[in-house]
Amino acid sequence: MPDQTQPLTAAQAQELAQNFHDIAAAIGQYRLVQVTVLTPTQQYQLQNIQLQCIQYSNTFISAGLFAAQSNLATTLASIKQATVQANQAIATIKDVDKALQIATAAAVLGASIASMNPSAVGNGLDGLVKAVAGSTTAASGSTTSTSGAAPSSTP
Amino acid sequence: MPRGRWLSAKATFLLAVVLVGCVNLDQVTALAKLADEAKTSLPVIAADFKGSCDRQNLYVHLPPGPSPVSAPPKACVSGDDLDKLGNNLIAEQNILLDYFDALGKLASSTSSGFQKSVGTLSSSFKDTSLSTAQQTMATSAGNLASAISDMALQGYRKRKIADIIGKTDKDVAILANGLADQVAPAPDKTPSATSYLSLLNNEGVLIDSYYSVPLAQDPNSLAAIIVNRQWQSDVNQLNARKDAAQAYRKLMLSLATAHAKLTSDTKGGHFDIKQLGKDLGPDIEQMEKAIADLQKDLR
Repeated sequence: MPDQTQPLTAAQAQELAQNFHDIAAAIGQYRLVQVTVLTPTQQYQLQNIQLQCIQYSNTFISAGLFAAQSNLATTLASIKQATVQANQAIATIKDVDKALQIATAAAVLGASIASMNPSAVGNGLDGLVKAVAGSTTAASGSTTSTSGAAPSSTP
Repeated sequence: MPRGRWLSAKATFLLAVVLVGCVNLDQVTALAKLADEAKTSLPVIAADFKGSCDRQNLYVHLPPGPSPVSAPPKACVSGDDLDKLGNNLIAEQNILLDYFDALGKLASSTSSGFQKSVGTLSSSFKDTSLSTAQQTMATSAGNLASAISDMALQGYRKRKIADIIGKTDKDVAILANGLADQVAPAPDKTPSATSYLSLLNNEGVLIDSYYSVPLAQDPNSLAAIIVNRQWQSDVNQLNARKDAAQAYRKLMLSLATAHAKLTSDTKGGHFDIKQLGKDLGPDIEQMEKAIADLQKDLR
């Protein structure tokens, strides 16, 4: 489409911004060198042209930055996805931790049963349930019941 | 030492040596910590996109005598766009920093609650009628399970991190370089895109004309001395902002380099911690310096 406006590329915007910056700097230099020659009105007129050039330069800077930012869109989406993956992995670690707590509870309960002493098993079981409940609370940040369900829910 | 206890302790030690070796994830955590420290300094630069525009509009002289018929043009009319661009920059850099944050959390995630429960087991059994050997066996079983879980989790974390950083390295490099270029181009090359530094350069042109022309007209007055000081102060502030922009660039490039080294040292899921420490050391130092410079210049 020949009459459709083409957006500037980042490189084109940079070139234009630099050109207008350079013209503004040259006008400033001229105003300084000719300070004894120029009348106040002429100084004012030149200042306005200088401001106008800086304004164009700033507009091209802004256009160039928009172009650069839109070029990053795909990359941003990929990195967001990687962040989600890392956070999912952290969530998995919490699940693994929980499963292992139950496995330990089973192992220690086995050791107390091996004592063949009903009182020791009872006391050991009680101590174990409390310890597991405490660890679950610490790991998940929530209160867990100490009903003794943890050892019996061994996989 | 009772035989049961000695055997359990030995088994725990051997298993730990076989499964863990000397690998740790400290470097990933350190990198994430540095990225996190930078988070507070970076928004100041993004906000100054519009800030520079606003300041440029102040460097205007009116002619002596009655006010001119038409007001002088504004040096910057892109304030709203620059404000939007600054906010976009914050959003972009946060995506990168959130990514490092997630890596750091993954590297340091532990089964701390689990470890705690194992530690209380021995005291739980003390008041029971279990024999000493039985108590020791029970505690050792807990310790073993704890060690195994820790090693399993550590192995999982290593594999996961190696997998994520391997896939993401190219994008991290593109984004970090893109962010660096938006704030300041490479100092030794002709810039290929506009940046925050371009705005500061325009501001510099206006500062120079604003002060130099009136001073040249009246160089020896008392007022000229005060104006000279004000000029110097404005130039110093501008230079501090330029330094901060360069520090931002260094920081972003260091993040990309450190990530690339992390990727090459973890290829295939194997961490060479000694090599990693050696490789990342200079980048971490460079980042620490860049963060300190940013904080100093943005004061």
